[in-house]
Amino acid sequence: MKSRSNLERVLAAGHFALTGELGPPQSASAEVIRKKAEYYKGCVDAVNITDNQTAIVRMSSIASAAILVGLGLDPIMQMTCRDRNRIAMQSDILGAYALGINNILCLTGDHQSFGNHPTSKNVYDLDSIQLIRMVRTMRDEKRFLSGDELKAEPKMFIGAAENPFADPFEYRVVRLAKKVAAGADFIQTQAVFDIPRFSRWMEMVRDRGLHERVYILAGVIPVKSARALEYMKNEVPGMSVPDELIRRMEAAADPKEEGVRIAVETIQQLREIPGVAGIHLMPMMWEAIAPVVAERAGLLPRPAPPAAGLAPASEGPPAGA
Amino acid sequence: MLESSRVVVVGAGVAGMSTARSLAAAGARVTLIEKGERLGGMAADYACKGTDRCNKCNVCLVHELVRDVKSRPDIHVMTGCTVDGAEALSSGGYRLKVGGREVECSAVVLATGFEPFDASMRPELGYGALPAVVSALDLEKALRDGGGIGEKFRRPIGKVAFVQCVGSRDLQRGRGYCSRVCCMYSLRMARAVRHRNPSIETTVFYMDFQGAGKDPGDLRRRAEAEDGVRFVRARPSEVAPAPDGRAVVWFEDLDGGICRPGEFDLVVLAVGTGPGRDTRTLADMFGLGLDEFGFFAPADPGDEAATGVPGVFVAGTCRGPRDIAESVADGERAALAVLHEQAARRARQKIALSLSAGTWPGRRVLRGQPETVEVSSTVLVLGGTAEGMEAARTLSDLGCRTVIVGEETGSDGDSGAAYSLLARVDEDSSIDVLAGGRLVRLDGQAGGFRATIEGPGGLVSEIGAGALIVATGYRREFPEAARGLAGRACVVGLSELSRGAEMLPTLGGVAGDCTRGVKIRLPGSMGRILAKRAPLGAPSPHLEESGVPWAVSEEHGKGRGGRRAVIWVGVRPDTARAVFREAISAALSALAAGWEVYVLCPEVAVAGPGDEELYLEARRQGAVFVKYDEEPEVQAGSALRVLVRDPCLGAGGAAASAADDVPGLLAVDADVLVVAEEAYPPPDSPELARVLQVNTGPLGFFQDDNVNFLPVLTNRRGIFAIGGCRGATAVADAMVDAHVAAYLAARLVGTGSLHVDWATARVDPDKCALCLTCVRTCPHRAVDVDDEMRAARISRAACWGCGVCASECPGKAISLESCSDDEILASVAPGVTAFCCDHSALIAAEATMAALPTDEAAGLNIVAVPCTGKVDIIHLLKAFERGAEAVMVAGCFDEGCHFLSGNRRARLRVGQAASLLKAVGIEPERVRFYHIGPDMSAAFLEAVQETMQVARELGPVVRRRAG
Amino acid sequence: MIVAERKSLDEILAMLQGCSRVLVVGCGTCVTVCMAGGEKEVGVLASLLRLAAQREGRTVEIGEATIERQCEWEFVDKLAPAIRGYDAVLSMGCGAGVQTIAQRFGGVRVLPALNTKFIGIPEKQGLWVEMCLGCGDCVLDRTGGICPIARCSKGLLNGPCGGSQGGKCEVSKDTDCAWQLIYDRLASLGRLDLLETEFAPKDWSKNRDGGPRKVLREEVML
Repeated sequence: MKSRSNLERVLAAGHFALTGELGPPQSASAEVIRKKAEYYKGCVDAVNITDNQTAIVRMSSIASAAILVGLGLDPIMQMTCRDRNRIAMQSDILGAYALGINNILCLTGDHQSFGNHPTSKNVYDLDSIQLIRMVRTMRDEKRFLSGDELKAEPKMFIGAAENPFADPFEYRVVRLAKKVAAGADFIQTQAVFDIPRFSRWMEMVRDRGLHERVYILAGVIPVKSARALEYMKNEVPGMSVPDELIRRMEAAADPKEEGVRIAVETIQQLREIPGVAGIHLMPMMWEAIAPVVAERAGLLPRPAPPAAGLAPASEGPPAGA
Repeated sequence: MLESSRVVVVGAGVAGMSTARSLAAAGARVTLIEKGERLGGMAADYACKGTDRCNKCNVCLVHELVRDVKSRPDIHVMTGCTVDGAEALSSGGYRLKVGGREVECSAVVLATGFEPFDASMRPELGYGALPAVVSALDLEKALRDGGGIGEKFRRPIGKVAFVQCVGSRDLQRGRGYCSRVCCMYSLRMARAVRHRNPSIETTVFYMDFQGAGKDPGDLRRRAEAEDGVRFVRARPSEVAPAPDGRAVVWFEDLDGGICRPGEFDLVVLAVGTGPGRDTRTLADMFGLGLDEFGFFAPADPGDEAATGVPGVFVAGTCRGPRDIAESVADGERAALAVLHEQAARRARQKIALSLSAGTWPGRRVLRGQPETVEVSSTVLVLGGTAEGMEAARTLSDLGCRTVIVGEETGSDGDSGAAYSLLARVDEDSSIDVLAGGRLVRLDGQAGGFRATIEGPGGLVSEIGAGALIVATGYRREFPEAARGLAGRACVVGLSELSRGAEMLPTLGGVAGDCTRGVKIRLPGSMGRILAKRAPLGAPSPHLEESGVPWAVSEEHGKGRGGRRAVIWVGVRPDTARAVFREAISAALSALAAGWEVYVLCPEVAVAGPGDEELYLEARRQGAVFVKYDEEPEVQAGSALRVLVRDPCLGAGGAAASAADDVPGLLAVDADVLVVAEEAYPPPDSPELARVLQVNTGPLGFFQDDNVNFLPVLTNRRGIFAIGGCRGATAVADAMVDAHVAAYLAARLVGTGSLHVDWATARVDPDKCALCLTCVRTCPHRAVDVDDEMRAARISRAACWGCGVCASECPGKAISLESCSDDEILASVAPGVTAFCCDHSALIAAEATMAALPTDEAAGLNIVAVPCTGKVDIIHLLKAFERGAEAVMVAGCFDEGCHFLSGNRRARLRVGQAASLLKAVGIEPERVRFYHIGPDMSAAFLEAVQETMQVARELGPVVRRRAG
Repeated sequence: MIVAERKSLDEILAMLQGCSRVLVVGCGTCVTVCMAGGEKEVGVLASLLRLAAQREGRTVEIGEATIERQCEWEFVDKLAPAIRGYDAVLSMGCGAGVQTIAQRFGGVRVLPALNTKFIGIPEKQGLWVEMCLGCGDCVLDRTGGICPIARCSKGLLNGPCGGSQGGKCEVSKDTDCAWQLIYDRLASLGRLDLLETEFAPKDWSKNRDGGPRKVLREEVML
């Protein structure tokens, strides 16, 4: 095992994994985190904590993840390249590991122009692939990016994102291969609505044998309304939403129920695709629905965490309050 | 030489003035005789029908002509005179009796114009009896005078009807021809009326829409969609009185076939054009022939300018209906014919031209020393089409060497006419042919182009040429709705059919000798040109006869019902004008061969000379014409069946039966379906346009859609576009293009030197930063980079003198001769400054100033500019700095700029000035832009008064110091 | 070339508050070419400053001068006679021009009339687009001649982010995705292999390096 990550353990044991996404609040309230975390308890193998997603300022992913550690959950700390240079990133990775965080998801990050501080200066000192490589070097070679020696390495389970619905389509798998070569252990994809296109992408993944070198978790968003789908189709870059899905939501008497049904069907279809190692649920501030979807998709119960629980790294201080 | 020989032009209407101007530019001394007191003829009363955007009515061309003619010392104008007698001289000329004086001349050009139909000859339409009924000419004058038309006609006007074909296509009154211009002028007037009075509803009652211009279909669509002009296909039978001086138009409703009334406040009769009153007298005087309608008739249909009488020529509407631009072109053509005859009379082979480039739209006379530039007198003709060959042949007469570069397109066939042209080209030693060549690069400017031609084997050669004539023709392809039918058995393209022989097998297996046929002249592209001096294959008998193989073999049934052809002319209006005659000819020859014929079309296009007669003949012989609203449906199984809804119903023959349920739906089982092809630019047109740096217009054809460029000018001096490459063209029109372009090209470069006596822009190389702004913004592509001087270089020969480059140059390195910044700013003074385009607002201003009260006139500073594009942002700001309270810029309508886009740039400048002024606390409404046509003196006066009102209300820009 | 854009008149008028004698100085090189600060723009701005003053009833003296290049001592020297008596110089040069004049003429306020934007090209008349960031370490050999540093909104080196769709950047539909352009170009060159290799983190010290970067060439020094 590369880490103490529960997610790694579940995947390595050959289980079909399930992760969920949790968005930290735009406030200093730890209570919000705790409340949202409740939904995920016993329902997922690990919880993603977003890093100022869509460039809106929220509680830091590192702090939020640390709270989850205290609650006995396995957090996946997301880290974007937008806001920190290589010095701050390495520093935060060391700190995160010390706080008991065993997973990191390395992202490019949404452009600041989308968020609530569009006049800020972005950093992008590294890109996501360089970030992956840096974490891997820290973990496996015990060296900083500078080459300096690192005494206690952060044993992170390294994740990366990939968007099969962005362009150039043929290049997306090449980029995935680059991420795998750089050191990604698992991949979480953009939400899948367009299953044919995802299947084509997976075919290309399998052609390169990448599914045997990295765990691929397919993204699923349960939606509440046709409007939400339309918004994603038109406003969110790199999304592919088939029109018939929008029509189906429009026609539904109970859209929320229909949304769950679609999510469950999607999960079942994704599970059939060879090389898909799990599902990444992104309820978009509708965390309460996660257990419902997991239940109805037949993904419960989750494999039990190790008896010892998710102990923080021995070097680190005890997590939580 | 011509200097000693005077030419008399009779009639100072459009064609007469054009002839006079053209002859004078070629070095002739001209006497222009006009019966009336002023120049311009009928057209002088017409109104500009611009609606912010130019509607291509061509009326501004008349004012331009008047000014050109007046400004030329070599044109002697005699008004208030007629030709009362003529005596032929032994020298070949004439001695004319003109208003009691005698004028000797070497040639006479009759351009006596037309007479509008007297609408009172159709009493049932109420003209002269009902106050609400007026003629289109009355409305022209009302629009011309400005203000609301209600005031003009002294009645409240909410609904206006236009009634088409009054005195046209009217056999009963001996006027069995289409007047060619009424549909378009009514459409434009309806737009103009709606534009000026948006509350007025306009309805056009018409029989068939006779489109003209670059894209008449689009103009009609916009009139309907944007302006809400209503089109009703009906020929009103009666106009009756209604209460309050209104009138009721009774028209037959096509759907029900019953007569219905429509009440209108104003009924405008679109009167047709007839032969002028003097035509008969002059015909007798000179021994000329008239056609059955009373127009001067050409002695030889192939040479329309010649009358058969030496020394006598005709031009313009006196020889049949034509619009303003066509009359201008006809004048040029007549001038060329005069020169041609005079050269022949002196036993010269070539026409001698004097040193003159002639006139160009927007030419501003140079104050200062003219310059003579050496040029190449070779002309390059691109395209081996009939018009290209005709241009080359004409150029040869004019003393120019010509190189024809013909690409083998193989897309169109050859006709007997084309073969004879080809033979003449082949014999002519001053014409070279590069078969299969392609222009890949063009350097240089007018007078000194260097063309790189790639030959068939990849061979590259460079040819120097003073001018280029583009004659690449058009491509014919099945219209969108019929595209799926191409290549099917028993379906044949009209042009393929006209071409003949190879179509025989597809005609439902009918083969036989082609013994009969109507002579069909192919429009536009005549296809490939054969290699020079390569043996010309003997044309097949079919081609020689240009016959259509309709013959029915023995074993098949004879007579009506034996064989049935459907001819489908579902093409755009611009193409319809060019191909409809071909379709009727095909119908006639099929009828003659015993076929039953259906012609399906949205409109019957009969604007060409003789077309209406041909159409009526086809109907007499039993052809069924179905004017449909919805595209027909073709069911092509083992047999052909065409389904079409006839809005008129009841036109079915034995074979056509009303299909179930759908009223008026005809099902025609056809042995052959002939599809008239749509005209498109050849596929390599965009690339050729790029290489030539010339603009394309609507539908991708060459030439901008701008009346100032008609008929054959492009945005670049020395490059002309003729015939099919500038739009679907009938053969006769393509030939006029060829003559005019050849003549203009020869006048430009034919003498080997070019006399630049017009103002051009000049670059100060020391100030030039080589930013390329001028290279990019010059509408005429007259600027390139002088590599040695490391500065922009403006070709004196190619520059049109608009000044757009000067006003855009960020380094102030360019100035325009005869219109420098200093000169402009010197005219700026406190009060209102009006920057006026030489070609539109200035002409209107000249008429306006007299109407302006003296005190107001004192506060108005008119600054003449060659184009509003010359108005620099600095001029606008400096005007305020120097005390102007308000500034107006007045120029041509959009798409009507003599320099293509100067007015658009000026409007952007005005917008920029407004926002800059606002930024420094000055009211943006102090700077204004107006579209003013040259005849719109009333509108100009309104604009001036509005601007003065703004100035009065806002007061001086300078705010007095507080306290 | 360097592309610049005039500051808003409000901003310019605010910085000129209290100055009644202003010399507007244009530059005959980059900013003339990009139509921001050549002789014509000097004329326009000077005229506007006079109008603004007239409007407020102030008397001002606005001078106009344009020199070949504001970033060269020899050309800037030519301003010496003209500059006398002015309260302020309003430079319509790029940032380099403003500073050169300021450095040469210690006793006068030198103010910028332009915002210096980027190194770019006129994509078409009236539209200028950034092409180069001056990062000091050119990568164009590996990216098909299209710069991801300047033209990708995130300056990514290892391919497009997940926001690239239909050839456009996630930031704006008006902006091409630089990586789509790179991909297409390398595809047409048959060099997609270049995209398989991983770009190491960039050496940004060549871009910003503690104070102004310098280029020193001893062999051409006097």
